Amino acid sequence: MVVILGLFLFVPVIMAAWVSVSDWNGRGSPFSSNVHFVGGTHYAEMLGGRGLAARDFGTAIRNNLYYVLFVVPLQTAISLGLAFMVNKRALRGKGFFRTAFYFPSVTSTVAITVLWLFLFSASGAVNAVLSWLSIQGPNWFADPRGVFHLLMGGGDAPAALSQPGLFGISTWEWIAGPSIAMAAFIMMAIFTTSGTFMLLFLAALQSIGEDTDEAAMVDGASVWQRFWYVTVPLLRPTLFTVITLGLIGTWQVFDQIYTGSQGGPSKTTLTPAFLSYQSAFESQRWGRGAAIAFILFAIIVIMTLLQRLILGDADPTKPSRRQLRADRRAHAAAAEVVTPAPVRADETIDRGGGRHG
Amino acid sequence: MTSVAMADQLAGKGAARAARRRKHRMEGGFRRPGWLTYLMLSLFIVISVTPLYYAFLLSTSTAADIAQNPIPSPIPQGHFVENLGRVLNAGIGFWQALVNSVIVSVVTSLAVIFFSTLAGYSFAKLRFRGRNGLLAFVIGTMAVPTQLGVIPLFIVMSNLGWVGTLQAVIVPGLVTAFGVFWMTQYLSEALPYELIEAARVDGCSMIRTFWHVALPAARPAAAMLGLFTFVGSWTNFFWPFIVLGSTNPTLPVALQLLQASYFKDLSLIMAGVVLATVPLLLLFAFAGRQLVSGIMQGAVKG
Repeated sequence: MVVILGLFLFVPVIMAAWVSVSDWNGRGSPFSSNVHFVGGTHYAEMLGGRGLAARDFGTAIRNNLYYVLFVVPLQTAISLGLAFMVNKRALRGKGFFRTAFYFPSVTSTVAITVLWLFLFSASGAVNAVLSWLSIQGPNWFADPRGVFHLLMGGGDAPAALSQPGLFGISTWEWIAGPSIAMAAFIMMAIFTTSGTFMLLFLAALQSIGEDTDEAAMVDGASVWQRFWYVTVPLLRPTLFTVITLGLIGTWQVFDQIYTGSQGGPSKTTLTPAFLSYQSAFESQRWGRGAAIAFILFAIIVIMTLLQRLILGDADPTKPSRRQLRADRRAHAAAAEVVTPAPVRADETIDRGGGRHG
Repeated sequence: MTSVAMADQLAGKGAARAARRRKHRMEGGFRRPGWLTYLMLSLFIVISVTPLYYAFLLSTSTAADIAQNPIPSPIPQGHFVENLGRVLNAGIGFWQALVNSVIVSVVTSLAVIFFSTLAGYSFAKLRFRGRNGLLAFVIGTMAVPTQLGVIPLFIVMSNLGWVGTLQAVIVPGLVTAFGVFWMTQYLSEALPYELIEAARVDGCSMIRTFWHVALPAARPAAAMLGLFTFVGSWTNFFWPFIVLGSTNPTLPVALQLLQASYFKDLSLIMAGVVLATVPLLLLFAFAGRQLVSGIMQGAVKG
């Protein structure tokens, strides 16, 4: 199986690297003699130029950046909150809640996109509900206006910000925020992925068990303290997994865009993954498509390392230990009265067996 | 045996009474979740179930009704079978797509479970040269985005002459880095060396040890992996769309075609959505509870 993995993952990466620096046009083998090495031309076109390629690429990066910035924190927070609520020992109908929350995750993105297109159409259900509240809903998937621009009052760009900046995109365009069309996609992503991540958090919560929580409770920690200073630090490995999977998933948005908007309106839902597909498979510019995929890869790796750094540094256990220790001192007298807990023989054997691993 | 009964034997009546008292007090501390929890959970239920039920409602209605009123009555209308018939005869090849999706998903999940468990067992329990390096390499491949692989993978497939055939979708998915990583983590915790040694002493070969000891021990994690893989390949769009195209589609690809060619006819499209979604929902509704409780019994040890 290492062979299969190698054949279908490692070799392609090498080939993609070659295609991204060659002028291969999709016909014949990319390794034949009439394919030439063109160096970093494809990369330079997108990263340095002022042309259409650079502007499209910059727009795609901007769109996807906002998508990631909204989706990843929200879906992580919601799935963690759901898992925490569903994990409560005395909750009735646990199984029902778990199953129901996972439902949106088992539907394909294409199916949900088709549904979303109708829900958020001009005369769709969402706007009908909004009109009950006498709100005039936007024509979601046809509205390119940036959410931040709207919040700022929606005027024209100040002259100072309208100069072409990073990747050929003006600063005014960079701070536009996700367009209203993109906002609908953001809601969709949160709707479909929170259930899966809730299951991951739930599994981790179960493996932590209730002992630590009980210990903190005996020490007099409140619900909020127990959640923030005991559970969350213990969940750190799962948190890391969820955020990493979230980053990888959100930087590769393609299905929704292809089925739903094809990058429109006004390119505000263009994403690097869709741009890469378009360049390679529709415009036959394979080198550019591969180069975009490589830049995307670099972005994902950098973001993952960055979040590891941030998660490693901002250590929420540090204040909590101090605080809990203080609490413990205050409760020391009470603790001494309590007799030592009886040994749970079954559990000891369990752990002893597992420790060899 | 409960801890209280255990204490009864170990430390006599006095300690048992104390333990019982303590246990009682502890449970008093875990109050029943208040109405606020139920309110929030119910709100999320409404949000997560309504859109799907709404799609079902639309699929039982007619296009003319939907155009008149985007919010139909909450009672299903009688046009579902009729709409379903129209989907199957829409010239998209929905029957074929359904069969293709079943084949791809079943073969992929079984293969992923088997190969990942085999690889996970080797990484977790066998000692061989270069083990750590190889494991790090496998995990590293998880960071490679699909987009990067797709262009060269397409070149490979067209050289093999596999474009448009199901094995082009199945073969690259036979083993996943995530699966290997997942099973390695699980087996290194859940399978004690004593069991393997006992099997060896009893004269089991390496393969038999794997088959009779490691595979059963891996069951809870394998169930979860199987569920994720099945859902993943059932809903996968990008790669099947690229390599299969419209002639031999899987369900998501067929659904996209349906949306592109009949975008005015919502009841038809929604019937397609229901058809693509319901098999998975049924699977999940019947097997899901066992699967989820299996997951809860063991997987993901920190």
